[in-house]
Amino acid sequence: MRRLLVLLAAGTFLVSCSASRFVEPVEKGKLAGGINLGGPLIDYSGAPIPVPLSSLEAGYGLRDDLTIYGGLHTTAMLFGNLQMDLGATYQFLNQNKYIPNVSVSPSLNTIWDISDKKIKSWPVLDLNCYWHYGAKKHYFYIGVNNYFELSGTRTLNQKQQYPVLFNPQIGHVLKGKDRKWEFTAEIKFLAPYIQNTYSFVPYKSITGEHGATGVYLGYRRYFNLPSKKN
Amino acid sequence: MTRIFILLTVALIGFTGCKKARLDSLAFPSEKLDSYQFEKAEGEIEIPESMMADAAHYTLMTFNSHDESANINYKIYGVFIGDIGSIASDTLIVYFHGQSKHMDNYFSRASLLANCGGKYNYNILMMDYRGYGMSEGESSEQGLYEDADAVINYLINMGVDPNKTIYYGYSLGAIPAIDRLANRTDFQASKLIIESPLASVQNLVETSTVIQTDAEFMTDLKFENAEKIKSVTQPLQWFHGIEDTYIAIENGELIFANSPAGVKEANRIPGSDHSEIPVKIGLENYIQKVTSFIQE
Repeated sequence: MRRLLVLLAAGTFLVSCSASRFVEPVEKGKLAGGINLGGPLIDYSGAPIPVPLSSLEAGYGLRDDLTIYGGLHTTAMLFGNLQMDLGATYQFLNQNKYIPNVSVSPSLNTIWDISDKKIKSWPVLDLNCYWHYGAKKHYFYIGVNNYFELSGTRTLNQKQQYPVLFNPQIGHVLKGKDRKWEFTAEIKFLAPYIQNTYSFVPYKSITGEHGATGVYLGYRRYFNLPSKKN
Repeated sequence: MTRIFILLTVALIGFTGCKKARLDSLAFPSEKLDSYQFEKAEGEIEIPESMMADAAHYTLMTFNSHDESANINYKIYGVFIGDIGSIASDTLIVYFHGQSKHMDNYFSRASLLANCGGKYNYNILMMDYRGYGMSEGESSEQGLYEDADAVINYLINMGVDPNKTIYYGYSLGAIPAIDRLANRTDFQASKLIIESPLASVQNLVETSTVIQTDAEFMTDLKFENAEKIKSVTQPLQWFHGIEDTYIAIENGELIFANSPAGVKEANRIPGSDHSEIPVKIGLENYIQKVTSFIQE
């Protein structure tokens, strides 16, 4: 019975549907575009599989330490929803030996049901520490992703118990030749403090009956924008 | 860059014209059948052969279910356990089954209820919703209500006494059982028994996404049991497994709390998952509890 309804897990496309975007800012004047795949692990006929969520992303380096970006959630589009996140990454601390680079990424995740004219937004805040290594400046990172629920009540007049969804994350970014592309692998520990046995979706979590473990992969390419001619 | 922008724009325009995917059909994991096996089929729960209804005591039936929106009639199937000649005079349990497969899957459950107060003491009537088993059509939320109406119309035609009729809704079956008591006034069953019900689709979505997410972003289903129960004043008996990992017991708690019934009985079953209740509390004990509620 559960096997088919497990697909309601696709409902989780609304949150936590990609790896952390642009942990490291894009170089000034460069454009980046990429694709993300992955989602929370669910129990599918006894095997843990990630919900197959996908999104496209683009970012532009305004300064070397400041990137603006946007993401388009392609899975949500299948359901007639236009879901986008728009935000910026600002790096405010540079690496010094073991002291990491630190960046912050505030964004707004908005979903719009075009036919039913429904809209809902969540502010999101990511904070990441990352350490470069090697000649190509690969890096690994740890951080937190936070979703903020602005509504104080849930359906049937229930109190919104969790105004903040706190999701620790770890990841690694492998850079290609001439740093023209990079590959991201990330694990998110989605709401590891919330019991998952109340959920209709059979989430799988390395913490057992709390939260869900998300697995994400991303590929990104960098482009030099043509310079303006006078 | 211009090319990418044009491509994205075209894709977005195309997307707005596309038919959107919905998760509605996933709520109805039915299976089609050419024929029913009933007591020979493997049911959701196993009961002793002595409790299983035998072929001499059940009758396959059909009902005419009208799809109001499409103005089409579907033939849906049901099974009557007991003496059909006594349908107008005996106590009748209308059993609304759960979401899986078809009636074969629930025949052992319906048979179990035929043991309340002694074997074949009460009549039991169960139907396959449209799209299930041999029933024609495609399943939908409105279809559940229309299929229930088809059976209720039959009961009215047969002169069945609503005061001797009990609705039993198991899981998905709680949805038509509660809805028809809340919204159909010409035949009001005397009591309601619900087992492992969900509060609403919206509640399922919010408990799964934690933050407040509108279910309508992905489904048109509502299943508003916790809201509709407010209009049901009949005595209520509720069963729910404390360890229900499919529809958490909080769903049932919301329904039970919202029920205005003067007589209501909660049975929170320790150690029981979604479909285990009769087994976990013991078949005899389960039969006794249901019988006592009906006879009160």
